[in-house]
Amino acid sequence: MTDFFELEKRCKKLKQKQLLKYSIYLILIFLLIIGVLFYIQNKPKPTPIKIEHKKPIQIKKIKEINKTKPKVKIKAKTEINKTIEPMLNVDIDLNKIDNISIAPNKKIKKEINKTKPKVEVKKPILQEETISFEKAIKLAEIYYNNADYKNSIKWCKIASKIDNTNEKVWKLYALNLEKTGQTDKAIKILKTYLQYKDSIELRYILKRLTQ
Amino acid sequence: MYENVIKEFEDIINDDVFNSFSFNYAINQIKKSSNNLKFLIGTPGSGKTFLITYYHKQTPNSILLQGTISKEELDNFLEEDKLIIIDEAQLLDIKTIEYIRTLCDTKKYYFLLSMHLKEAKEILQKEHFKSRSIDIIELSTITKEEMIQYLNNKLLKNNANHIFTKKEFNKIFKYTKGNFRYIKKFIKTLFELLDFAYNNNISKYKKINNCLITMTALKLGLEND
Repeated sequence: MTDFFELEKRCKKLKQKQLLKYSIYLILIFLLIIGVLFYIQNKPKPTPIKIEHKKPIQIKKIKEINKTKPKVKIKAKTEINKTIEPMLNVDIDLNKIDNISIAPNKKIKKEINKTKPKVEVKKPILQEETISFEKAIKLAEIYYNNADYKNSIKWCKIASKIDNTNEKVWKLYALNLEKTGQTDKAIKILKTYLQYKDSIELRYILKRLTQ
Repeated sequence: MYENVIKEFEDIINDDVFNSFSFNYAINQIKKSSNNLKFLIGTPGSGKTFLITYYHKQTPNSILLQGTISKEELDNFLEEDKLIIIDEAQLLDIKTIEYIRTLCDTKKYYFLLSMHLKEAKEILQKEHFKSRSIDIIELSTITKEEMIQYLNNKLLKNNANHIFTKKEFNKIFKYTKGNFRYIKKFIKTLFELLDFAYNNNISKYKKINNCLITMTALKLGLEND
């Protein structure tokens, strides 16, 4: 048994090695757990498609018009209405209001002061706030089929505002982006959606776009 | 102090039968088989030699030979209806194996060939064996529970039972994998180390501990450092 002490040395060395090995494993597991927790905490949420509103009517401009007492060339139905909300999201061409010609006239001035001119805003046929998701998506589809991608995108955004979890919107939006040459954006959007909800169809489109 | 235990675990074949499940199963299969040619296969150290020695002692009309025998020498032992048991049959040359097969085809001679698993697989893959009905009996290693029972029986004889804890048994099984030869070797070496520590008054190793088991495994090459 002359090798007893030699064996003892080897055994101690082996134990040290094993200890080091287990320590490394433990550290790795610990790091992995931290990584997973960090990922869970910072998991990106699906960002709803932002709807680009046209410039809202600013009440200031209307007030300015009132102050300068303009000679308003009132067309058949255009009257400034008191009830206009300051942030009304409607389709109004602001240029028209800006280009209102102002010609100071005493008679008119008096009339204006008495009657307070009313501007009636012509409301669009389909309002974003009241339209249903089905209609919005249908419109987006129609525009897409007619190769009017810009409008199709617009209606996709409106539809997404109503229901941003619907797969259809994301699909159509991505296809529109692809058609308008924004493939990278389309890929990004599809990836974002697929992080939250799996879809074979969207995965297929994503695969096609990434190839 | 542990000389008796060391002696108990020496790798010699004695009449000390341990009735493990695999042992009993293999014995029953050999007895049941009416085939003229039987193969007893198993990994080295699984107890094939012990089994055939035991079976030979139990069977009067049998003869036990070694695999180093030549074809010509074999002829001297041939007797009708006599069971010829050949240990380490993987050592037989191809001609002798072929000869044994031909003898068995006559239905007059009975052979039991004991060989290593690996070599047996190679031999049985050959065309002339593939096409014939041969009984293959596999002797597998023992389970952990069987190993504990086996060791306890042996240790009890030498008043050294309860020397191992369950954890230590688990560790021994991890190294020996239920192989009889390894178990015997392992316990023998372990007690040799223990005996050395006792005689040289190395207090740390006067009792069996994890380090002593690892030292044994290192010595037998069952653990790499």
